[in-house]
Amino acid sequence: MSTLKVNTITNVSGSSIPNPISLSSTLVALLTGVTWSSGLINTTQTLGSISSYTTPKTKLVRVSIHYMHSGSTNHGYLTGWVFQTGKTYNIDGTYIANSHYDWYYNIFQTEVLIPWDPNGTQSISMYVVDALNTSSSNVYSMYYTGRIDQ
Amino acid sequence: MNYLKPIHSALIAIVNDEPEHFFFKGEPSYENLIWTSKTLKKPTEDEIAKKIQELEIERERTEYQRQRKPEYPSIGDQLDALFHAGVFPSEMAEQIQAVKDKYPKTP
Repeated sequence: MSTLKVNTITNVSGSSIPNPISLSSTLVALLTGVTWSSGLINTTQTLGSISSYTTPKTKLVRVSIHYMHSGSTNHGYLTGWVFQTGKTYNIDGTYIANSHYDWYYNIFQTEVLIPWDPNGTQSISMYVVDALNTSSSNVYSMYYTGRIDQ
Repeated sequence: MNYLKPIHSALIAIVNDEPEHFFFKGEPSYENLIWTSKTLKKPTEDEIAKKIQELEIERERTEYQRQRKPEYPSIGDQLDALFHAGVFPSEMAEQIQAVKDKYPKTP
């Protein structure tokens, strides 16, 4: 794990000093081998707890959605909202959309930031808007990749 | 190309490449395996180990195919050689020759 501090403001006479922002990066697997399909549309799925990684100052959490298409000519769709468990997905969450129909081998990765309440549940969920998978070799994986504290 | 962990590949083979029977909570391992299938029984750790071994034997048996593939001439070059050797059926050879005549080589 690495930590980089940026935006540290030196004292200016007569003005308030914002708290410095701290960025941290890591790679923690939440779920792997995900092949959710249409039976999970309009459901909320828990991606995992990150209580070991957040702090009372965490304001944003980074989540990476990784897709590997390896199942030849078929489908691997996953669209929905990633959000802090217990919050309202379409207000406090971040929308992601993935629709892959392919023939070859591909890896595709999307990273999102989701607003974080340090006093809320220290867990990440996903509300599934669309899912279709027609091969066990077309897999999604979800990783916690860091946080922004202030 | 396959970047899947051996346990993942073995499970895909066990479920006959039908999605939605399982996923992992965290990195792929038997301890992290979440079995969601309503129709298939969760395999034991021994059954998965046996399947991993079977896949490895099969991978070794077919290794020569992966070694040969990138070194073969392209399919197009192979077909062109057959055309020039005069072994195509006359109808196919005539069609190919007609295209060659339509777009002659730049001198």
